[in-house]
Amino acid sequence: MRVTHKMLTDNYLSNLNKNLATMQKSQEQITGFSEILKPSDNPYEITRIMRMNSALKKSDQYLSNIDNSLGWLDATDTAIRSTVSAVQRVQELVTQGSSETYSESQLIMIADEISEIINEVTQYGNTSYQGRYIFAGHNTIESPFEVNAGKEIVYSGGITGDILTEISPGVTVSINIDAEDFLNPTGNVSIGETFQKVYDALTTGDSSTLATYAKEIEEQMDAYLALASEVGAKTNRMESAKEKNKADTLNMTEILSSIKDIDLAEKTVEHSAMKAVYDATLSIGGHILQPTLLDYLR
Amino acid sequence: MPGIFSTYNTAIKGLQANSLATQTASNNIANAASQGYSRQRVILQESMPYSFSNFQIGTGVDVTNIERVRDKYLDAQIWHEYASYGSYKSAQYVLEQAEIIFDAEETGLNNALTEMWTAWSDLAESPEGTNGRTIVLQATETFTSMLNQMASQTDTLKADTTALIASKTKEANSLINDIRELNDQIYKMNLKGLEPNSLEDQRGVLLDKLSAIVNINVDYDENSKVMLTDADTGETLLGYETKEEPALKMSVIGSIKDDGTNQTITIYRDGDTSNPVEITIGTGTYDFSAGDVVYVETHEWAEYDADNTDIPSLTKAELKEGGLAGNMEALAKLEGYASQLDDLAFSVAFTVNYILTDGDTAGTPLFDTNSDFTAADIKVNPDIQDDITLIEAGSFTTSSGDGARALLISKLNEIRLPTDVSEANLENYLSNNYDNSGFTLSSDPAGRSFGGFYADIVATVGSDTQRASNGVITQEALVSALEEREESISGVSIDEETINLIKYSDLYAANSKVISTLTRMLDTVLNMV
Repeated sequence: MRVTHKMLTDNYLSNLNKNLATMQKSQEQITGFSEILKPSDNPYEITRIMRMNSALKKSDQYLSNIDNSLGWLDATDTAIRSTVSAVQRVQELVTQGSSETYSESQLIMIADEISEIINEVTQYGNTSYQGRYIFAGHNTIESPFEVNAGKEIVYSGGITGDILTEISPGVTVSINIDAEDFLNPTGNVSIGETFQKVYDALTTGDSSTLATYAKEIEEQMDAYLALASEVGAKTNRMESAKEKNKADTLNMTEILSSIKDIDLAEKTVEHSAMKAVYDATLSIGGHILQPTLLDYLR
Repeated sequence: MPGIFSTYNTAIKGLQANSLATQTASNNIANAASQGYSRQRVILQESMPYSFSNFQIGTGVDVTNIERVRDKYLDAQIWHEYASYGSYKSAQYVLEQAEIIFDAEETGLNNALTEMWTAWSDLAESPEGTNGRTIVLQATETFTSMLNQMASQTDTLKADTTALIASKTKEANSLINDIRELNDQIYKMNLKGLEPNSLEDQRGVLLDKLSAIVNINVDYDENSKVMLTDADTGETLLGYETKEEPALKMSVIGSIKDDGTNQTITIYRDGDTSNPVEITIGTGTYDFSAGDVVYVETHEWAEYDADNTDIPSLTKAELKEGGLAGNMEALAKLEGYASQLDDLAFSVAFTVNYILTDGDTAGTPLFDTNSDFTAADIKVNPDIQDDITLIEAGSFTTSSGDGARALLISKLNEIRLPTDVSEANLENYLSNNYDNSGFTLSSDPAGRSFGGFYADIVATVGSDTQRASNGVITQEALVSALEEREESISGVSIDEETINLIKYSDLYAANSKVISTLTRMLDTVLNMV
């Protein structure tokens, strides 16, 4: 095969260009800190990266949902525990009032305390978290409970329903204790009604009837305790969802990083190797491109 | 009987031949870097001897030819590879720009889409008040404006590509015409018995350029004229007839509008965008799209010019290789991406609206139903922009704290919808699977989610671009190997030419020596007198 000088220079130029192109690519990867800079670098991995990016974003959203729910459940727990103490206090007062040693005026004094407790429990029912009434069902912007003229706590919100939140892909949970469940945890008699009966008996000085309510109050207390443990269970579930969310996020971040992040040490070594090749190519160029026969003719 | 004077003749012929050979070697050296130059070789042959007694006596040397060293079969091979290289290269040129539009950046459409679904999740978390709704509105506006922008960028790229096709067509037409003129000159020189070496080199350069645009077959006649045929369609681009313009020329469809009864087609005649021809013809006559290359017979244009009524017939050029084909292929792909983006825009808007309005029975749609749900036209309902409380987060009968509807919409990122996103199919699926009492929408096991939808488009753009880039790399290697072989045959080697120079100048000196010897011989004879 005839070899001409143009072949040498052309070959040399094209190889020099190839070296420069590989160097440019690795430089881009190092400065962009990513293996995959364009979809065409790896069309399959790019879709994985995109899915992973949006899954991470969603995962952040789930975490914020979970944190929000935990705050909500915390507020719910406090309100229910306070209600339990209030019911306990009513139980004590009823025991006191039932002993026939109390005078009518003393009973009236107890009735006044009961009246305060009725207001107190209404307050607990009207607990709000970040501006939302937590026991209000769907009508979260109006205070759900009020005490009517007959000293009965009633639900005035009108729209019950679940407050739902999504804590991981496809997992939706209800985080609220609905208005009816808060007002009537036993399902038989509402707390408002029970308190009203106690209050009425005390104001009329009917201590014998009062004694018959002791069992009902006991049942109410059990029911509130059950409600409290339901909230506790929900909190536990949220806590474990939070753990899982964090593990998932970490996992996905790791996978994402393994797909697209560069190994800086490896790339740097690769790059300096390429640079050495490039330098060698340049210096060789000086030797192979110069001589022709003309250099030796005198 | 040979005499001193006839020997003079031999020496002079030697001087002339070697002088010519020296000239050729110098010319080779001078043109060593000239584009398209093929080295030339002097063919020397001994002159006719004459007979004397029993002998034949030589009479010196003749230059029979100055030959251009060229391998025609290699030429044909290279031209076909240039065409293939051209098609990958032009496709890559366009697709690399598409890759920037359909990006996978963390700030791109994928992100906007995810942000929109998380905004709905935020709204579901606090469905009371305006906070969550403002976030939803903003995220939706970002999504629609990003789609609008992508659609307009795609349109611009399509228009640019059409212009590129037109300019390449124009170049091809003018190259063909230049080749025709060179054909004519070569023919005339051949008739005079001359070797049109440099003209053939010039023609070779033009053929190199043309073959990168159109895949051509080249045939030669006995006078070294070339005939050009489009290798993909078999149409004759240039015949042996050199007097008139080619009978067939390429034009480009600039745009096509159809009003139901008539098609209005804008044609860039011969690829000239400055002077488009607009013709109106019955709907259904042609199935063209912008950027298509068509063949039109030259005489039909002439007839059209005469009265503007004889509409020339257009034949679509089904090009497969070459720069034009690459651009056309990329244009078709762009069309595909744009329509997938439209599908995405449509299915998002239609599904979200369907859930927000319970299938158009109540509520307020989020996407404006007065404009098309295409990537170019999709926009947020202005009623909602005026009053964001119209965004319904829960059921229509309850109020404030219910975020179940918003929650369902936020899950649309994962819910799989049918891949056939025609309005009828989507509506049918939603009406069968959407439950507005519990706010659930079941996934289609064979469908795909909105999250996967855009990723699919990006992957398609990415793999198309990758294929073109890989094609460019492979083809580049092939072309340069062939060019190397061509250079090996036709290229000028400085060493070789230097040796020739020394050889021929030595021979020239030797021939001069013959003359001085003859002169001395003559002197001897003359001194005898």
